Amino acid sequence: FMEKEVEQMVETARGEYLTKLSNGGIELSCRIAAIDWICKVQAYYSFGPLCAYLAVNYLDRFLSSVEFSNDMPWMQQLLIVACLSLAAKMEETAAPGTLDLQVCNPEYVFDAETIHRMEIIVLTTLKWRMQAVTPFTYIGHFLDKINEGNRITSELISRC
Amino acid sequence: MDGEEAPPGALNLADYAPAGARTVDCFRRIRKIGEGTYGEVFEAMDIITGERAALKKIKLDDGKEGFPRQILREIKLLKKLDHENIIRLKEIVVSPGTAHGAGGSDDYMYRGDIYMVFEYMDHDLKKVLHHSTPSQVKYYMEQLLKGLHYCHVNNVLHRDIKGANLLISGGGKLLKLADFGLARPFTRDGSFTNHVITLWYRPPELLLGATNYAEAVDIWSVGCIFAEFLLRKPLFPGRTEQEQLSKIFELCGFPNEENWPGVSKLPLYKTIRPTTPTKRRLRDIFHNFDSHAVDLIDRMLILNPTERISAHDALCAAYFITKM
Repeated sequence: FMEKEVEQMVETARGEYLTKLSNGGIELSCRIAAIDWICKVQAYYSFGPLCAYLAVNYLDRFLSSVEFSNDMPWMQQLLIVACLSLAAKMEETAAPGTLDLQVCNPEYVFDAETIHRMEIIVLTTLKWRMQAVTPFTYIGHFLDKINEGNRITSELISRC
Repeated sequence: MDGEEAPPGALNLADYAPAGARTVDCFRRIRKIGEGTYGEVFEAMDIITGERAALKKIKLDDGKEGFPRQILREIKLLKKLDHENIIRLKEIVVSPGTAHGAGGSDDYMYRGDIYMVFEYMDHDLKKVLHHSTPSQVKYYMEQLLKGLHYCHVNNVLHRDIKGANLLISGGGKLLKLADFGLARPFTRDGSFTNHVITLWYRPPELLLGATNYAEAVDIWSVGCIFAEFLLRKPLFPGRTEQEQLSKIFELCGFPNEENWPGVSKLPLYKTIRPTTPTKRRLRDIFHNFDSHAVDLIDRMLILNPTERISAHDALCAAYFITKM
């Protein structure tokens, strides 16, 4: 299990993804815009934080394994929609359709078929590994320990 | 010298795999095995390794949802589960030519399709459910419970245990749980849909409309399968949900607050009434069988889900300790 996680981490950090990010290339602007939009949609639909986190995780892993070109700005938006759509389906009990997901004034709007296609490209690029270990994985466990196995109350959660 | 050139096959493979994904062209179809809720299943052979595999074609409807969430979740679960009694998802392949209008007419047929590649298994348990020897039954039951225990420890409910979803291989020596299409991760106080599990194997709490249930739903199904092994016919072959409940109560007695605290609060409890005051007489229909086996069935088919035996405790039961 640990090996698999390490492999995934290495993949993300491989190549020059981090360097590119810190040099402020196209990836950086894309990432900032993406996170901004994802957070807006998250608030709009009241998605959980894990959903947004996963979407960014998919985005990072995709960008680190695929060379992104500058001349198709709509590609960025399509990629982000696909990442968020996948994350919502993984985590949310009720995820909106792919068309309804494109709220908060995105620059481009795509049809369902195009998004579907992009989803598959993202899935294959990420080698179908859609479950990432996130800080959220541990929060539940720690809460359980703090509360000595009792039911977690909303009061406790708000105090965290 | 031309000796340095790679064989044509290797070159083709590289062309198909822009992101390391193999395509369905890596497999030669042998025959269609079956049809599931999510599409057809084929027996196929890996052209490179010669290994046999089962390819499950995922039906992609052009709906608004995009890639089906059910499949996403099944893939996520299968990647998480790694146990000898659980079917292994080897890889996922796509059909070549995913671009619009690409390829000839042949390509067009499976353009954009996705296949889940599973290890190949000979047949399902349904085929042997009504003619297995007592020692085979014990062998199958042990493996079924081991696989299920592993799922439950990993907080996964299978939610569709039945003969057709239990696969057999190795000359009847190996059993694996398959078809996690309805499975889902659970938490202690989650709320789920109660429209799961094939009717004959569906536990009373689901039939009574419970949406907060746990591992015990799978155990009930296992108990039904176990009983069917011995009786060589289905234990509760109901045709409607109503009839299913009557058949269960006929053998297991009528539920009340005494034998199942909280049952009267279940949504559909008020809609049922006992035809005759029924007492539990489940054991009576098994009077000719191994008493350890009957003891275990009796503990799996307890109406109150909180009293039903767990997969772990079932594996420690006398039935599995005694030799034939």
